[in-house]
Amino acid sequence: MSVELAPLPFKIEKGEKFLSYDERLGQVIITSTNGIGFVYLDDPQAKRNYYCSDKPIKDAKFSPNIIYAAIKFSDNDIEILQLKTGVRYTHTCKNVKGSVIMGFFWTNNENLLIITNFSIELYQLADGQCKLIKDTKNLKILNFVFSAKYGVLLIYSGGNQIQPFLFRAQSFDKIPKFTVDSVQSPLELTNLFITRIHEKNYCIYGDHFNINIYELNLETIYKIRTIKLCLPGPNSIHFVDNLIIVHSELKISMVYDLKMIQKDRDLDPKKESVEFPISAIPMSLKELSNNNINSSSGSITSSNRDNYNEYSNNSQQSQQIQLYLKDWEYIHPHYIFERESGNWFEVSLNFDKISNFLQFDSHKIIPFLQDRTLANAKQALLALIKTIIEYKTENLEGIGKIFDELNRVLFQTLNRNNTELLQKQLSSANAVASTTQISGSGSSLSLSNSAGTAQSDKSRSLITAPPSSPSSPTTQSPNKDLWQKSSPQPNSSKSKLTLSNGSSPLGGGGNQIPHEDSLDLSIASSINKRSPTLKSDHDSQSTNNNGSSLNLRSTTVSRTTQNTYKAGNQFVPRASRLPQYILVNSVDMHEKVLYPIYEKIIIDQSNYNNSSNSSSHNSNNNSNSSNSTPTQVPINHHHQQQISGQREKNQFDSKYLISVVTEYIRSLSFASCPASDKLFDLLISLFVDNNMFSQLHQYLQYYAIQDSENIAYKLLSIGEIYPPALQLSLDMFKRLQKPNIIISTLLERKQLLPAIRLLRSIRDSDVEFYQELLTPYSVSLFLKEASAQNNDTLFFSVFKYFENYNHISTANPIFEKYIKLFQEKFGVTHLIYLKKHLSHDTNNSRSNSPKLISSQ
Amino acid sequence: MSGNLDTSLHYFLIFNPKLGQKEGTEHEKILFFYPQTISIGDQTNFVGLTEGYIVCTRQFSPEKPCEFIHTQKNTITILSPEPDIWIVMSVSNPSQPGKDAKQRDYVEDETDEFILKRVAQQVYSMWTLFNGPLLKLPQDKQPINYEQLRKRVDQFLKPYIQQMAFDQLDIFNSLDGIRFLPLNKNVYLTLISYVNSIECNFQSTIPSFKFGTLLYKDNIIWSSLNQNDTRSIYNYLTNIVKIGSDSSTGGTSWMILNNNGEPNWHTKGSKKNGFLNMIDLTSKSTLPFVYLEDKEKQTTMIIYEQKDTIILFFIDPVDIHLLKFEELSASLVSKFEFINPILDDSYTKKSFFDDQYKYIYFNQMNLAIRASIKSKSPELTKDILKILNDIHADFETSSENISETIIKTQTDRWIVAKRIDFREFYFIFDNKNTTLLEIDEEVKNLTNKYFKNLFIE
Repeated sequence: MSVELAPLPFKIEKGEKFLSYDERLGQVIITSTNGIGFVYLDDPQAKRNYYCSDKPIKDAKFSPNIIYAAIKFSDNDIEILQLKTGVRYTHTCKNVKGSVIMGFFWTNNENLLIITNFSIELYQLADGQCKLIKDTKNLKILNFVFSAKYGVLLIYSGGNQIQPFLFRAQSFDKIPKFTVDSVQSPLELTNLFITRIHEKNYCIYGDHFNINIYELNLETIYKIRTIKLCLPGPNSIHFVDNLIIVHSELKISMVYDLKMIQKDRDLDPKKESVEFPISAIPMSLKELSNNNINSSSGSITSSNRDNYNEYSNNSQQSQQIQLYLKDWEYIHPHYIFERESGNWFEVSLNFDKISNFLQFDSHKIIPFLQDRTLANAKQALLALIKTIIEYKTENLEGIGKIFDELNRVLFQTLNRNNTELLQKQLSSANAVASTTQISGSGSSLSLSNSAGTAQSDKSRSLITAPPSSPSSPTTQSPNKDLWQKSSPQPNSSKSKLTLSNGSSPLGGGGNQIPHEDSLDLSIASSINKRSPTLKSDHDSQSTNNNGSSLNLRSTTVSRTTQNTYKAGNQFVPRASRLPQYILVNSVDMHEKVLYPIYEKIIIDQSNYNNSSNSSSHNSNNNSNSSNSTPTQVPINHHHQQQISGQREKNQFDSKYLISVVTEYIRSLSFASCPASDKLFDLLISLFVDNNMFSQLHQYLQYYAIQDSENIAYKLLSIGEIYPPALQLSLDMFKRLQKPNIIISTLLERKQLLPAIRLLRSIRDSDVEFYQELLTPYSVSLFLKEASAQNNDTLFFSVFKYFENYNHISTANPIFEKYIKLFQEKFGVTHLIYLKKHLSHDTNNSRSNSPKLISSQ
Repeated sequence: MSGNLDTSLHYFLIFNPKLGQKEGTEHEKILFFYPQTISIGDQTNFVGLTEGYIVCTRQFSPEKPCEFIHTQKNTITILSPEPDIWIVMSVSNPSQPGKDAKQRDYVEDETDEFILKRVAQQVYSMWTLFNGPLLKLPQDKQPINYEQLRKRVDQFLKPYIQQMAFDQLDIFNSLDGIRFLPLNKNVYLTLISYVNSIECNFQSTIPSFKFGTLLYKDNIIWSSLNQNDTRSIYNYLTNIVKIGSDSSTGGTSWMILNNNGEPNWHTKGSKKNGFLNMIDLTSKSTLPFVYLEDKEKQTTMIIYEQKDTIILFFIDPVDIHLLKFEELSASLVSKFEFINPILDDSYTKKSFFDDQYKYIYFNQMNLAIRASIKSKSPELTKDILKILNDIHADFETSSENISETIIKTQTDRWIVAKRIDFREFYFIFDNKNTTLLEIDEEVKNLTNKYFKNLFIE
């Protein structure tokens, strides 16, 4: 794990001057001869928004809604500019003589706070006027820190005391002073910060030896902890992802986690020693490898190439950029401005190899990573879990506990999000607009938590063939057409985006959870994905979803960084979005942890088979009988032992993986989290690979394997090697309410009478469905099968069934040969219903055909 | 001989036709004969008779040898479970005194042949479970020591056959199904998780350690064995060890190794909580070997009982000294202690359906059996049992692929049996004065209602 520096696209050009960084809006405020402007720091295009001004500008601030700007020209005057209209007026501070404006801020869209050396004044902007609404005078203000984001003002009047004020709409409150413990006096207010760590607000003061942390609530501020630095000396403090980063003068960046420190202290409250950071190495430059997005997963060669590229990029850039420069300005919360060059950097974290720093204590690392919001922490977390499973550093129980913890958080977030969405849904007047917003935020609400979402869309066509190959059971799935517009086929492509986004529409479950869709995208883009941006193309998509506004199963592949701009080319800065802790759902777990382990077992297996084949081939050559079949080749004893040893090892690994997958499924089930059907698919593959059919059967018997269409198809394909799977498959189709698939399967297996019995029971229960099901073509399939079986009684029964219920029409040429066949076999006298039509038809064309057929 | 006589065992014979080829040594073909009250001459005659049957019927069916022979007094089943091994089981047909005092009337079609076949198979699989194939044993030592084999078979099979009640065999014997404990999915997954974690923990030090089967009383919850092995073990546990039954009924016995390392029946009352087939924790040598899957390699079977939860483990006999039994039992206690009440709940809870209907459901695919009527219950009168047996035989043998049979008994009960794709249902209705149509409708309704998760149209 290391602190990383990522160059930002924005650069202060010559002639421009950096004024301040607005944490709340995420914008850098600059001035030039043109006037004042701002740039969103995370805007990849670094678009400048300039507003003209002719006077020399000392400072400027934009209101949160970018309607006003407050501009300071002199020590006593502030000009308020309405950006759209250009209307401006000047507000002069009429205070005691000698008063100087030290700072001014927009506390909200209409409230302007002005801090002088004697007073703090809050103004309300209305009708082109600046009206004082509250002030506190007779203060002695040497310095101050203000956070618009958290509405906190800290006033310093000398000594070690700080006077806090809390701001709300139209007003502010004074809360009791607090004393900063520091050997330094006077205090350096550049080292005083207001920040939020894990949903709590803190004032943090750092000096050369300690970091003092004060918790801030609505009534008071009190000290909760001192972190004694392990590298004393001048430093700069940053906050990234709820962590405290201390950049030491010694060119080392230390990472502290308040949560972990508190946990450790709770265990050992008397400990008073130096606090060891999680990581303490020099920061490094982030590899700007754009090939992360393009690279396909899995293949060894491509990842090697990536590594090479990253390496070369890295070395190139580190030649250009030097770290820990003297002219660096550390901007709160986590930016660096290089004055000389005008470059901007973002300080970030790389969680790779995190276990090096926490002595591989998974009980510490996993909760730590779960508390992160950065996307690469998720990648690190998944990699770590994979390592734990592969190297068995935890026993199965321990792994189960890790799963439980992941799923507990997942369930909570899921529930909270669902509740929030439901509220939004209810309060929103415009249902369509609100749903697009919901889907834009990366989470979708489905009222049914089960994987059987496909149930709702009975695709009512009988002409569905079961898949021929077990590997791609979805390709012939009957509701394919329905999904083609809105989602990719799960197995169609191996690219990362497809895999992570398009995995769940058929199986359900996966995309119901908000999650970073692809781990390998850059941080910025993955955060952008959560943005509640309105996307124009979403309207059409939500209408595709069976018209149900709540049922949003589609998360599109196209959702990449560019999409953020779709809503009227308006860039939405990150600052206005809520951070979200990383979540690991069953799709992630399958894709990044369980399936790769399975793949490895398979590769080991096939490698071994290959090597044993080649060696048997060698012995073949030795005995000069290269043309004989390799199966009869005698294999030497040693080799045989090796093979059986390898087989045992693989079986052992497979069984272990089955236990792990089962453990994960148990955990998901307990936490009521949706499970991707891919998990069950993997489980079944493992059972089948190891001939553990009896166990597979038991899992299905107890519904430990969840019903889904994919799984039912998979079972159908297994039916060839394990016949009982067919029974299980048909049971599952029945539960999924897919009698059409059952009928076509039965037909394929020449079980005509059961198929007709099923038809009959559908007729009794769901007439509408029955009529949809029985197209002339499907009836002809029955007749075709019946005539092909060389069983006259069967053909008679089948024919009569359809004749009795008016499904055979003389009008439709498709039946012609069967009617003829029937007449040949049994004579026309048995055609009770059709007889009339037959004679009639020859005279009167097709006017009298039954209703059902005529509609076709 | 007087009064009515029920079905009883006539004789049980295992022989190897390759032995005793010389005239006068025919009795050497016999590997096992029960009862010994029958003279050696008669025993040899039975062998000769059977060989005659086999040779004779082979003319007509070269592929499938003769399986059953019905005579006036006896019903005989013949089984050849491995090459050169023939098992013959002859059962006396029930009889009653005839009109003529010297004659008895035999009920020739009372004894169901499928039940007999299944019983003979069970006897053989019990042998192989603990001893491996019959001819495997003597081949270990060349030349084959048949004397020793005869001794061992006698030692093993005699007590086993003695305890079998031939007059009480019914459809349950012929279905030979496994009862699975109905469980909620989450409970089920929890149990599997327990089992897996125990297995993984012990495997890390002893790779040959394996979890076998988990039962609650006589219901299986999870088995890692293949179907046949599970069935054999299940038979052993339910019929011999009599797990789950009241300890008061007695007759509980289990298999342990004697001083010579030979399997021996051990009857010493009942024992709860702890390792069943060990006298105490130090005497690991009594743990029996079993032969699973390919029947070639022997593994040690460990049975642990914790308040009606029975857990089986298997381990390579070579590794047995590595296993810490106290540790194993401690981890089992900690895991299973609190889940026992839930299991007990599931076990005793009778579904509404079970209360409402008299039925037997059997799925050949996983051998699962469910029934609201118990074996040997008064509901199953002789005539009902016979009808059930006959229907089952029809399902098994009929070339017409019978899928449904409805019968009205002499006592005005209806029996409806269905066979759908390897599943068999038997319903018994007591409602008199109902018509065939009404019964058909009733069956349709109840299958729609209670078997809606299954495709059984």
